[in-house]
Amino acid sequence: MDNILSSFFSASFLFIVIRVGVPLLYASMSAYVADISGIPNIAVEGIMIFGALFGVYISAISGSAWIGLLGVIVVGIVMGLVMAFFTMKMKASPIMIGIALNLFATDFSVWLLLIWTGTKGTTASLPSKVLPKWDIPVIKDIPFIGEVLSGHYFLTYVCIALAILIAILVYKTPFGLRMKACGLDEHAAESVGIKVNQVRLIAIIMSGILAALGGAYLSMGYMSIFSSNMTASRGWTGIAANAVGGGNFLIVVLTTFVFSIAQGVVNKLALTELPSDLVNIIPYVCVLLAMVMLSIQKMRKQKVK
Amino acid sequence: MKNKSKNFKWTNEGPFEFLRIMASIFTALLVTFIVLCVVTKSFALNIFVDLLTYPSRSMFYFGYVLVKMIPLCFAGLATLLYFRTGLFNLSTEGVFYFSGVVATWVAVNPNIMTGNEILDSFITIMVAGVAGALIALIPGFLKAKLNADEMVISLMLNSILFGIGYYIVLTYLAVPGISGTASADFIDTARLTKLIPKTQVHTGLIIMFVMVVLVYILLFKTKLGYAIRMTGLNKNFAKYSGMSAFGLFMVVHLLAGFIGGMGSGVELMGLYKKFNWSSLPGLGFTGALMANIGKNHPIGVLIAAFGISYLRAGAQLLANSNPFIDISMISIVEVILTLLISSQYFLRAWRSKQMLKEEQKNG
Repeated sequence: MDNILSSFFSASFLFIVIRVGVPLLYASMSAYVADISGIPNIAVEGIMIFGALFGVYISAISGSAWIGLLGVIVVGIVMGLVMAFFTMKMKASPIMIGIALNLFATDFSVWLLLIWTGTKGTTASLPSKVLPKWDIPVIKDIPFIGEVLSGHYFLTYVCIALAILIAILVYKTPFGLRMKACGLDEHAAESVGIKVNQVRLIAIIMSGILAALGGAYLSMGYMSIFSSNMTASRGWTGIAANAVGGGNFLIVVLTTFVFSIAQGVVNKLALTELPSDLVNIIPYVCVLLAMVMLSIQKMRKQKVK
Repeated sequence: MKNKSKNFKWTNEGPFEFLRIMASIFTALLVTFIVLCVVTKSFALNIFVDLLTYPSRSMFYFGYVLVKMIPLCFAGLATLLYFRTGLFNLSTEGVFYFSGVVATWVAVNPNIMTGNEILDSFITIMVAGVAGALIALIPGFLKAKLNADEMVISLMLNSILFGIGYYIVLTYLAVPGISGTASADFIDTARLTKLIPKTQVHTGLIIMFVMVVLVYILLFKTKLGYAIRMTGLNKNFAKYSGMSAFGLFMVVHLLAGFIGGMGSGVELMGLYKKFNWSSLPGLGFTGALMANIGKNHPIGVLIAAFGISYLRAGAQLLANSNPFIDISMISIVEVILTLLISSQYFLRAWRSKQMLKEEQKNG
């Protein structure tokens, strides 16, 4: 047990935290960009599933991981467009659309698996490609930091870059301001000449791409196959992190980091003799507690007012 | 009332709603057909016709449809109560699993079972229902007291309940020596009896119909039902009507949890010999779809559960002989129905045009 405890304070543990945290951060960012512009994207989980599946399939038939990645982005855009069409053009509840798309992705991916591979379990029989790992030239030689930061998957670095870009987009550009305006009050935004639907369309598409990339990370890096139900509620964890953040991107990222640590702990504890079914629920309990704490905090604020 | 038939127009509220649902079903089936054609790379009309007619070819197959609609209907009824109150709670999934574990504990325990067929089934199903109700109180309390986001909480709860439930099954209920994880066989008297000979249809079907009627009465004939419906339309209703919102939310969660738990008990005692679920049964989301497709009406849920069950049965029966068909392909129908039925603007342009024409003719 001492071994396990001490291993939590090592570079390799931080490396694991980043490794398991990246899909969560993709999910959080996906939920975040959609939410601040006023259309909650509940379908993150489902889009991740499709991203993961199509990444594997397209890379397998094209023979190139990069074409696979391109396909994933297209899948993300298409899913974003579907959400945008039904929520904005058809005036359907985004929540219902999200629930429907999630269930659809869960089941339909199983059917596609069956058609493409003949089995319902995994894509192990497809010759799919994975995206490369990167060693960062200078940083990899620095003792502790190199061990933590270098040698991750390509999509890990994309994720970090996208996080920085989103922070800049939301907080430093006029477009970010417009997104937030649409989220706060669409009529007010409209009255000052903001094209609400256009802003939201772009936000939803961004959200779709981010979620799909999170899925691709799972099946084209973290693992090299797609297996049914491989997202394991990561999309929902992202939605929870976004809810805790309450519109503040930094808090969203930090919350995601906390959830990643919980997931990292699970990965470590899985090697011990503790019952794995109980260990596996740790991240979910963390998310649940975070949601409860968030609500208590909100209640207090309202009472003060 | 007499004028009603005289003034019948497709653009009237009722007929238009009917038309919309029919158009949704037609679209969903058409897309399924097209997808089938694409996948099989041929004109797959015969497969499609098989899919639609197979379940009604024999009494046994049709019984399969009826049996499989029971859990869908229970999940739909439970979720319907949440949706009617304006709560997006999806905990029926976890409730189904955990109540199933509890029901199993009762049904394999000779100390509890009395040996009387009716009494034993009743006890098992009731215990499952109570377990479901108690579980549902967790998100219920968090929602009612703290106004916590019930959707994310219910989803996390599903995963947690599965983890704990599976642990209980592995540690306390599993019987060593058989392949896979499964409990001991349920005691015979706990299981529901067959309703129609030579099919799998069990008495759970009657319980299901009773529940549909009860939920209907609750929603439309009682004060509580009125409060539920009004709160769904306007969050502040409970507050202004003098009813405590806290109490209302708790009661709704209690009832929905109870229905979900009952559904689990009925499903297990009706169809299974022992507990062998090694993953979440997937009914929480399906329940949400049933509620949505059924327009949050108990009778609607009943019809939706039958329709989806019919198609799923068709797919399941064809799956053995056709490599392209699987029960999961029915998700196409489910998603399109849900998307179109929840779209307020679906066919609205057509309706406006028709009404305008009418107006011009008359004026």
